[in-house]
Amino acid sequence: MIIDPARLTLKLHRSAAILLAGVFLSCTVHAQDGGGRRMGRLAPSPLISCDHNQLTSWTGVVSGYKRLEETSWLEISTDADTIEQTSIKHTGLVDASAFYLLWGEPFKQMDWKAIETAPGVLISGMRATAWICSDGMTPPVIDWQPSRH
Amino acid sequence: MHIFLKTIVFATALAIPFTASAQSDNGMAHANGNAKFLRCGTHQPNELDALLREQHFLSLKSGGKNTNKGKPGGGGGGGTPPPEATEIQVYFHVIRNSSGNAGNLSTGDINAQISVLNAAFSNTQFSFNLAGIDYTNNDSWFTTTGGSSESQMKSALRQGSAEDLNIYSNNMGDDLLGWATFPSSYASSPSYDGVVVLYSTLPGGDASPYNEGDTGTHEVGHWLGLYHTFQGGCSRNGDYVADTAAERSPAFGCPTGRDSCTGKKYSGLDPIENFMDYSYDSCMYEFTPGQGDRTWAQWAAYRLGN
Repeated sequence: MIIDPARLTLKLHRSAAILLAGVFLSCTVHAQDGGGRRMGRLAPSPLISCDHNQLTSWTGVVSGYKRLEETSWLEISTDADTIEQTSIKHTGLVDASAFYLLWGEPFKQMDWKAIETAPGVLISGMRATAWICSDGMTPPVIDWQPSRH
Repeated sequence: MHIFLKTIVFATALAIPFTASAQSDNGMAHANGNAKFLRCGTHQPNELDALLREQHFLSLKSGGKNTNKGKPGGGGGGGTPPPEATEIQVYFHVIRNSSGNAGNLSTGDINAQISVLNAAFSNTQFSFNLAGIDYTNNDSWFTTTGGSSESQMKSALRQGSAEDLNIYSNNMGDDLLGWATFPSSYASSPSYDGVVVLYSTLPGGDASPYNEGDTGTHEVGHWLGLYHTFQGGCSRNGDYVADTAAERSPAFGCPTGRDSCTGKKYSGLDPIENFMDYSYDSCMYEFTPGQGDRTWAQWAAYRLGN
């Protein structure tokens, strides 16, 4: 019996890839609280003032967060498998809370504890939707979505 | 052997972030900055994830699944069976508040939704038949957006097999219009399988401009294995359907002429008219042939006969 090294390599390569995908999938499925992956459809909050034709959104886990004196910065690892970044200028304001929502409702000072463990330190795994307007005037709005489950 | 070695190195590199992040669980509490991977239990999706999921799907599609059924070699006798007209039985679960005065839907409302589904999927292999309606009054289920109340609701009400569509209507809130599980999740979480829609998105409901039944269509698209058209942004793989133009992020409203992925390699305007975008119901009206092909392949891989 003659074994073709090229075919053997390809078979091994394919097997390794399938094995890897299987291991990965078991990890991912495990991660979803027994519910598996899910995707949905989102409508803009009535509190978003941007013309809907000029609006887009990024929803996912906040993977980067900086709260500075005049600017706040976020990075979101989106559910659509992209990494997005946005910053909010809040010159003259104490913080960026005027540009924040909490589960689609106006953000109040007492809500900071729902998203941060200390000033500038976001709760791990925090999710958010960033509403981005392309009209050149309307600043981003961040709708924070701390875990409810 | 060079390719094989590269695969092993690639696999090892992938495994390290999972392992390392699992070990540093406690340390993650203050480590949001630029973290690309969390532990397995809070895994963040990225393009590589989607690629691996797709690889698993393709391995089933190419016959891997059938190899287990005594067909050595896989590809020859296995793979996706030829498309055939398939009628999906739909079990519709209406969730109302505890007093029953909110969330109600008539048989006519539900039949109208089924008609919208049949029209939307008319260029695919699938049609839909209303097999049953039930009504439940439960405040927790009426407002659920997931978690234990969703689990309880679905465990109590779900009917049928992987081939049967269970639709739950409620008043979810949080600006959500609906959500759905994927075919690939059925094997591990069969009781979760199905679609949840905001009750007022059914045709003629109060959720204008999202009240023409296309939330149901969008969610059933997910249930049949379709990603959003903006999946992956402007990346090469996108939504894994060749004939939907790349789209950087979701479109709202009906922004005719939107072109968010520009450059020579991106042909076509954003697919705002596609059911798998986020545009208004009045704006979306089609699935592409490629999406039809994908739904059949996903059906064959994960739902047919299960």
